[in-house]
Amino acid sequence: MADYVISKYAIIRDARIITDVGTFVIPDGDDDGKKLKQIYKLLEVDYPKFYKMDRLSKLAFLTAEFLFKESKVLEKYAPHQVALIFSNASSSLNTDLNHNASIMDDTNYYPKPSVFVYTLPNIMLGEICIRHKLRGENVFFVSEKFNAEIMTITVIDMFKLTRHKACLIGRIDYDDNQFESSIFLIEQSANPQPKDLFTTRNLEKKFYKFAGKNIKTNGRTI
Amino acid sequence: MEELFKKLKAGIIGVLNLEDMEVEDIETDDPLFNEGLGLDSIDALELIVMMEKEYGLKINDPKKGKEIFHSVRTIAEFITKNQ
Repeated sequence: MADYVISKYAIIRDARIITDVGTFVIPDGDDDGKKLKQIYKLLEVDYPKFYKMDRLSKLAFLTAEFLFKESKVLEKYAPHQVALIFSNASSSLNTDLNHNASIMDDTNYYPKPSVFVYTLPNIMLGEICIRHKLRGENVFFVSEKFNAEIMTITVIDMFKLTRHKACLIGRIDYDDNQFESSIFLIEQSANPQPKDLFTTRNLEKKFYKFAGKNIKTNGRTI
Repeated sequence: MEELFKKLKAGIIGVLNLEDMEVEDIETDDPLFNEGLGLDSIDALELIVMMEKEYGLKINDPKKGKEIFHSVRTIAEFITKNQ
Protein backbone atom coordinates (compact mmCIF):
# COMPACT_ATOMS: atom_id res chain seq x y z
CA MET A 1 0.00 0.00 0.00
CA ALA A 2 1.36 3.42 -0.93
CA ASP A 3 2.34 5.78 1.89
CA TYR A 4 0.73 9.14 2.51
CA VAL A 5 2.91 12.17 1.89
CA ILE A 6 2.80 15.93 2.25
CA SER A 7 2.95 16.45 -1.49
CA LYS A 8 2.34 20.21 -1.81
CA TYR A 9 2.32 23.26 0.39
CA ALA A 10 1.65 26.98 0.30
CA ILE A 11 2.61 29.25 3.16
CA ILE A 12 1.93 32.96 3.44
CA ARG A 13 4.13 34.40 6.14
CA ASP A 14 6.43 37.37 6.79
CA ALA A 15 5.93 39.19 3.50
CA ARG A 16 6.47 36.02 1.44
CA ILE A 17 4.38 33.37 -0.25
CA ILE A 18 6.31 30.09 -0.17
CA THR A 19 5.17 27.07 -2.16
CA ASP A 20 6.71 23.79 -3.17
CA VAL A 21 7.24 25.23 -6.65
CA GLY A 22 8.47 28.72 -5.86
CA THR A 23 8.57 31.77 -3.62
CA PHE A 24 6.81 35.08 -4.19
CA VAL A 25 7.20 38.40 -2.44
CA ILE A 26 4.07 39.99 -1.03
CA PRO A 27 3.63 43.43 -2.59
CA ASP A 28 3.42 46.38 -0.22
CA GLY A 29 0.08 47.60 0.95
CA ASP A 30 -1.06 50.24 3.42
CA ASP A 31 -3.19 47.81 5.32
CA ASP A 32 -4.06 44.14 5.33
CA GLY A 33 -7.01 44.64 3.00
CA LYS A 34 -4.78 46.22 0.36
CA LYS A 35 -2.08 43.58 0.84
CA LEU A 36 -4.60 40.81 0.29
CA LYS A 37 -5.82 42.56 -2.84
CA GLN A 38 -2.23 42.86 -4.09
CA ILE A 39 -1.67 39.15 -3.49
CA TYR A 40 -4.85 38.44 -5.46
CA LYS A 41 -3.57 40.53 -8.38
CA LEU A 42 -0.27 38.64 -8.22
CA LEU A 43 -2.20 35.45 -8.98
CA GLU A 44 -3.70 36.92 -12.17
CA VAL A 45 -6.99 35.06 -11.70
CA ASP A 46 -10.45 36.38 -12.49
CA TYR A 47 -12.71 35.58 -9.56
CA PRO A 48 -14.86 38.60 -8.68
CA LYS A 49 -16.40 36.78 -5.71
CA PHE A 50 -13.04 37.27 -3.97
CA TYR A 51 -13.93 40.88 -3.26
CA LYS A 52 -17.05 39.90 -1.34
CA MET A 53 -15.22 37.61 1.10
CA ASP A 54 -14.11 38.67 4.53
CA ARG A 55 -10.36 38.92 5.12
CA LEU A 56 -10.10 35.48 6.72
CA SER A 57 -11.73 33.78 3.74
CA LYS A 58 -9.68 35.90 1.34
CA LEU A 59 -6.51 34.68 3.05
CA ALA A 60 -7.61 31.04 2.87
CA PHE A 61 -8.70 31.44 -0.75
CA LEU A 62 -5.39 33.02 -1.75
CA THR A 63 -3.34 30.34 0.00
CA ALA A 64 -5.29 27.59 -1.76
CA GLU A 65 -4.86 29.37 -5.10
CA PHE A 66 -1.09 29.37 -4.64
CA LEU A 67 -1.17 25.71 -3.57
CA PHE A 68 -2.94 24.72 -6.78
CA LYS A 69 -1.30 27.31 -9.04
CA GLU A 70 -0.56 25.72 -12.40
CA SER A 71 -1.17 22.26 -10.91
CA LYS A 72 -3.65 19.64 -12.01
CA VAL A 73 -3.31 17.55 -8.89
CA LEU A 74 -7.03 17.72 -8.07
CA GLU A 75 -7.92 16.11 -11.40
CA LYS A 76 -6.81 12.77 -9.91
CA TYR A 77 -9.67 12.80 -7.43
CA ALA A 78 -13.46 12.81 -7.49
CA PRO A 79 -14.91 15.82 -5.63
CA HIS A 80 -16.02 13.74 -2.64
CA GLN A 81 -12.55 12.24 -2.21
CA VAL A 82 -10.84 15.43 -1.04
CA ALA A 83 -11.37 16.59 2.56
CA LEU A 84 -10.39 19.83 4.27
CA ILE A 85 -9.23 19.96 7.89
CA PHE A 86 -8.27 23.45 9.04
CA SER A 87 -7.68 25.33 12.25
CA ASN A 88 -6.86 28.75 13.64
CA ALA A 89 -6.48 30.58 16.94
CA SER A 90 -9.18 33.22 16.78
CA SER A 91 -12.06 31.63 14.88
CA SER A 92 -13.78 34.41 12.90
CA LEU A 93 -13.18 37.05 15.57
CA ASN A 94 -12.24 39.88 13.20
CA THR A 95 -15.50 39.50 11.27
CA ASP A 96 -17.48 38.88 14.45
CA LEU A 97 -16.32 42.28 15.71
CA ASN A 98 -17.26 43.94 12.41
CA HIS A 99 -20.71 42.41 12.63
CA ASN A 100 -21.03 43.43 16.25
CA ALA A 101 -20.13 47.02 15.39
CA SER A 102 -22.98 47.13 12.87
CA ILE A 103 -25.57 46.20 15.49
CA MET A 104 -24.31 48.16 18.52
CA ASP A 105 -26.46 51.21 17.95
CA ASP A 106 -30.19 50.64 18.44
CA THR A 107 -30.93 53.84 16.54
CA ASN A 108 -28.82 52.79 13.55
CA TYR A 109 -29.40 49.03 13.49
CA TYR A 110 -28.43 47.77 10.03
CA PRO A 111 -26.57 44.44 10.15
CA LYS A 112 -24.85 43.65 6.86
CA PRO A 113 -25.82 40.21 5.50
CA SER A 114 -22.56 40.05 3.55
CA VAL A 115 -20.62 40.40 6.83
CA PHE A 116 -22.85 38.13 8.88
CA VAL A 117 -22.41 35.14 6.57
CA TYR A 118 -18.69 35.11 7.41
CA THR A 119 -19.15 34.98 11.19
CA LEU A 120 -18.06 31.34 11.31
CA PRO A 121 -14.47 30.28 10.52
CA ASN A 122 -15.49 27.20 8.52
CA ILE A 123 -16.99 29.42 5.84
CA MET A 124 -13.46 29.73 4.44
CA LEU A 125 -13.62 25.99 3.71
CA GLY A 126 -16.82 26.57 1.76
CA GLU A 127 -15.14 29.24 -0.34
CA ILE A 128 -12.26 26.88 -1.20
CA CYS A 129 -14.69 24.06 -1.97
CA ILE A 130 -16.80 26.24 -4.24
CA ARG A 131 -13.75 27.47 -6.11
CA HIS A 132 -12.18 24.02 -6.59
CA LYS A 133 -15.41 22.00 -6.70
CA LEU A 134 -14.58 19.86 -3.67
CA ARG A 135 -17.25 17.89 -1.81
CA GLY A 136 -15.35 15.97 0.85
CA GLU A 137 -15.53 16.35 4.61
CA ASN A 138 -14.94 19.78 6.13
CA VAL A 139 -13.60 20.07 9.67
CA PHE A 140 -12.48 23.20 11.52
CA PHE A 141 -10.68 23.32 14.86
CA VAL A 142 -9.97 26.36 17.00
CA SER A 143 -6.69 26.03 18.90
CA GLU A 144 -4.17 28.49 20.25
CA LYS A 145 -1.30 26.96 18.27
CA PHE A 146 -1.02 24.64 15.28
CA ASN A 147 -1.37 21.11 16.61
CA ALA A 148 0.33 18.82 14.13
CA GLU A 149 -0.39 15.73 16.22
CA ILE A 150 -4.15 16.25 16.30
CA MET A 151 -4.16 17.02 12.58
CA THR A 152 -2.15 13.91 11.74
CA ILE A 153 -4.29 11.60 13.88
CA THR A 154 -7.52 13.06 12.49
CA VAL A 155 -6.43 12.73 8.87
CA ILE A 156 -5.03 9.21 9.22
CA ASP A 157 -8.23 8.04 10.91
CA MET A 158 -10.26 9.71 8.22
CA PHE A 159 -8.31 7.93 5.47
CA LYS A 160 -8.79 4.60 7.27
CA LEU A 161 -12.49 4.99 7.95
CA THR A 162 -13.84 6.93 4.96
CA ARG A 163 -13.53 7.08 1.19
CA HIS A 164 -11.33 10.16 1.11
CA LYS A 165 -8.10 9.87 -0.88
CA ALA A 166 -6.59 13.29 -0.26
CA CYS A 167 -6.83 16.00 2.36
CA LEU A 168 -5.97 19.65 2.68
CA ILE A 169 -4.63 20.54 6.12
CA GLY A 170 -4.70 24.27 6.76
CA ARG A 171 -3.89 26.86 9.38
CA ILE A 172 -5.31 30.30 8.61
CA ASP A 173 -4.70 33.00 11.20
CA TYR A 174 -5.94 36.54 10.73
CA ASP A 175 -5.70 39.14 13.44
CA ASP A 176 -5.53 42.92 13.49
CA ASN A 177 -2.63 44.03 11.31
CA GLN A 178 -1.14 40.58 10.79
CA PHE A 179 -1.92 37.39 8.96
CA GLU A 180 -0.33 34.04 8.39
CA SER A 181 -1.55 30.96 6.58
CA SER A 182 -0.43 27.48 5.55
CA ILE A 183 -2.12 24.76 3.53
CA PHE A 184 -0.66 21.30 2.93
CA LEU A 185 -1.92 18.64 0.54
CA ILE A 186 -1.82 15.09 1.89
CA GLU A 187 -2.12 12.24 -0.63
CA GLN A 188 -0.67 8.84 -1.43
CA SER A 189 2.63 8.35 -3.17
CA ALA A 190 4.21 5.16 -4.47
CA ASN A 191 7.78 6.52 -4.05
CA PRO A 192 7.82 8.84 -1.07
CA GLN A 193 10.87 10.73 0.09
CA PRO A 194 11.35 10.25 3.85
CA LYS A 195 11.14 13.99 4.50
CA ASP A 196 7.75 14.12 2.79
CA LEU A 197 6.12 11.21 4.59
CA PHE A 198 2.95 12.27 6.36
CA THR A 199 3.97 12.14 10.02
CA THR A 200 3.43 14.53 12.91
CA ARG A 201 7.09 15.45 12.94
CA ASN A 202 7.30 16.12 9.21
CA LEU A 203 4.11 18.17 9.27
CA GLU A 204 5.45 20.19 12.17
CA LYS A 205 8.81 20.70 10.46
CA LYS A 206 7.19 21.91 7.27
CA PHE A 207 4.81 24.19 9.17
CA TYR A 208 7.62 25.90 11.05
CA LYS A 209 10.26 25.63 8.32
CA PHE A 210 9.89 29.21 7.16
CA ALA A 211 9.09 30.78 10.51
CA GLY A 212 12.52 32.40 10.58
CA LYS A 213 13.43 31.20 14.04
CA ASN A 214 13.90 27.97 15.90
CA ILE A 215 10.63 26.94 17.40
CA LYS A 216 10.56 24.74 20.42
CA THR A 217 7.67 22.35 20.49
CA ASN A 218 7.33 19.61 23.04
CA GLY A 219 10.87 20.33 24.13
CA ARG A 220 12.37 19.77 20.68
CA THR A 221 13.92 22.52 18.59
CA ILE A 222 12.81 22.30 14.96
CA MET B 1 -34.26 60.03 -12.83
CA GLU B 2 -30.69 60.00 -14.21
CA GLU B 3 -29.37 61.24 -10.88
CA LEU B 4 -31.22 58.45 -9.09
CA PHE B 5 -29.78 55.88 -11.52
CA LYS B 6 -26.28 57.14 -10.73
CA LYS B 7 -26.91 57.16 -7.00
CA LEU B 8 -28.30 53.61 -7.11
CA LYS B 9 -25.38 52.32 -9.16
CA ALA B 10 -22.89 53.88 -6.75
CA GLY B 11 -24.84 52.39 -3.84
CA ILE B 12 -24.85 48.94 -5.44
CA ILE B 13 -21.09 49.11 -6.02
CA GLY B 14 -20.55 50.23 -2.43
CA VAL B 15 -22.73 47.80 -0.50
CA LEU B 16 -21.82 44.80 -2.66
CA ASN B 17 -18.04 45.46 -2.70
CA LEU B 18 -17.93 45.42 -6.50
CA GLU B 19 -14.25 46.30 -6.69
CA ASP B 20 -12.84 47.83 -9.85
CA MET B 21 -16.36 48.66 -11.06
CA GLU B 22 -17.46 52.16 -11.90
CA VAL B 23 -20.95 53.60 -12.19
CA GLU B 24 -20.52 53.66 -15.98
CA ASP B 25 -19.96 49.89 -15.99
CA ILE B 26 -23.51 49.13 -14.83
CA GLU B 27 -26.18 49.30 -17.51
CA THR B 28 -29.46 50.73 -16.28
CA ASP B 29 -31.61 48.06 -17.92
CA ASP B 30 -29.34 45.00 -17.59
CA PRO B 31 -30.55 42.24 -15.23
CA LEU B 32 -28.83 42.41 -11.85
CA PHE B 33 -29.30 38.73 -10.96
CA ASN B 34 -28.41 35.46 -12.72
CA GLU B 35 -26.96 37.27 -15.72
CA GLY B 36 -25.67 40.82 -16.03
CA LEU B 37 -23.94 41.51 -12.71
CA GLY B 38 -24.58 37.93 -11.55
CA LEU B 39 -25.63 38.91 -8.04
CA ASP B 40 -26.71 36.24 -5.55
CA SER B 41 -29.12 35.85 -2.64
CA ILE B 42 -26.81 37.50 -0.10
CA ASP B 43 -26.51 40.47 -2.45
CA ALA B 44 -30.31 40.60 -2.56
CA LEU B 45 -30.40 40.87 1.23
CA GLU B 46 -27.85 43.67 1.09
CA LEU B 47 -30.00 45.54 -1.41
CA ILE B 48 -33.04 45.14 0.83
CA VAL B 49 -31.05 46.65 3.73
CA MET B 50 -29.85 49.46 1.42
CA MET B 51 -33.43 50.27 0.41
CA GLU B 52 -34.51 50.61 4.01
CA LYS B 53 -31.43 52.48 5.19
CA GLU B 54 -31.00 54.90 2.28
CA TYR B 55 -34.57 55.31 1.03
CA GLY B 56 -36.75 54.34 3.99
CA LEU B 57 -38.52 51.65 1.99
CA LYS B 58 -39.22 48.18 3.37
CA ILE B 59 -39.67 45.20 1.10
CA ASN B 60 -41.57 42.45 2.88
CA ASP B 61 -42.82 40.33 -0.02
CA PRO B 62 -40.01 38.21 -1.61
CA LYS B 63 -41.96 37.90 -4.88
CA LYS B 64 -42.20 41.66 -5.18
CA GLY B 65 -38.50 41.87 -4.36
CA LYS B 66 -37.67 39.84 -7.46
CA GLU B 67 -39.56 42.31 -9.66
CA ILE B 68 -38.17 45.39 -7.93
CA PHE B 69 -34.54 44.26 -8.11
CA HIS B 70 -34.66 43.14 -11.73
CA SER B 71 -32.58 46.12 -12.90
CA VAL B 72 -31.41 49.55 -11.78
CA ARG B 73 -34.36 51.06 -13.67
CA THR B 74 -36.97 48.92 -11.88
CA ILE B 75 -35.43 49.80 -8.51
CA ALA B 76 -35.51 53.51 -9.39
CA GLU B 77 -39.14 53.27 -10.51
CA PHE B 78 -40.09 51.59 -7.23
CA ILE B 79 -38.35 54.29 -5.21
CA THR B 80 -39.94 57.10 -7.22
CA LYS B 81 -43.40 55.55 -6.86
CA ASN B 82 -43.16 54.89 -3.12
CA GLN B 83 -41.27 57.82 -1.65
